Amino acid sequence: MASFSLTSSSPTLHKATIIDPSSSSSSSSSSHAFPHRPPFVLRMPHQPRRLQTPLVLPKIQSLRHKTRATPVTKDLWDNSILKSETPVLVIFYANWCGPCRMVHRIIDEIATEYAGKLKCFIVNTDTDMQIAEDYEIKAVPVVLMFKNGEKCDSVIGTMPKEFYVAAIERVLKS
Amino acid sequence: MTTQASTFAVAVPSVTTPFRSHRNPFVVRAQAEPSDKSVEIMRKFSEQYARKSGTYFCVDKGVTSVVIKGLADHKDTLGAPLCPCRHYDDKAAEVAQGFWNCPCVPMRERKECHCMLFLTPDNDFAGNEQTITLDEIKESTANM
Repeated sequence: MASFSLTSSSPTLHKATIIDPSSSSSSSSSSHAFPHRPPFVLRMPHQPRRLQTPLVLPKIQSLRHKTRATPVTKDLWDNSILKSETPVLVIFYANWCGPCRMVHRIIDEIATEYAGKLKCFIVNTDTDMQIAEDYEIKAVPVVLMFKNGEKCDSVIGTMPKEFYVAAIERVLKS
Repeated sequence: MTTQASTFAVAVPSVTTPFRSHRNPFVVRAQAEPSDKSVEIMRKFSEQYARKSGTYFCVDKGVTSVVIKGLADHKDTLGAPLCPCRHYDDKAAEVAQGFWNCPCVPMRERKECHCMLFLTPDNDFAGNEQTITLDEIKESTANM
């Protein structure tokens, strides 16, 4: 019988070649993984036989502790903060800032206690640098209070809960 | 009388489904992890400097761990342990200036550590330890 081949001009089809492992130098090095040498090896001609460099993906991790404060970016800043009808609390934090974690917990409690009276947002100064620069944020954590589109109070650094509550009460009463 | 298949075609279906991210938008995310080597260097430095300056780690070791990892991350990316609790317009310029390289000038001069890494005994958040293990760091930042 005559030999045959199947090919197609379709762009979604890729031609694969059957290779005899005995004639392939690279495949013989990996043949020790099999108890018996496979009769043939399938290899896509357009793909490398092995990764030239190891695939290293950064471990992106997250706080499993979900915050009740909503993340806000430059695009959402005007509508979320400046045009808000209710007073707004914004906490500025950085990715690797330890004290920011403590303040996050405090703000979470406050967000629950003042639900309906106060909106809470968080800003990552590492990703939203423009907002941080606009409000001259130098150190984090910083909590800013807004009312009627204007900054009216701030708490810099890590403070006990009472400090934040006092600032909120001042804003709500003003 | 042998049939030899020299080539054949493999159909690869095109992926039409768009990639959907299942990330929760209400979760605070950290950056890529710093190298273990840098974390260990900064851990040893933190212990030594705490003893030298007569300061203590935070009662919440999670705070200490995150700051140590932040210093390690800056050491990896910038070449110096720039303070991770500040916002910089130009990090490279700040590293060159050296003011906020750990231990920063306020810490060296007045024992003021904004990061709460080195706390004086009279600080409300100060613990009574000047040591932290690599396992403690990994454990307290595992959920990050």
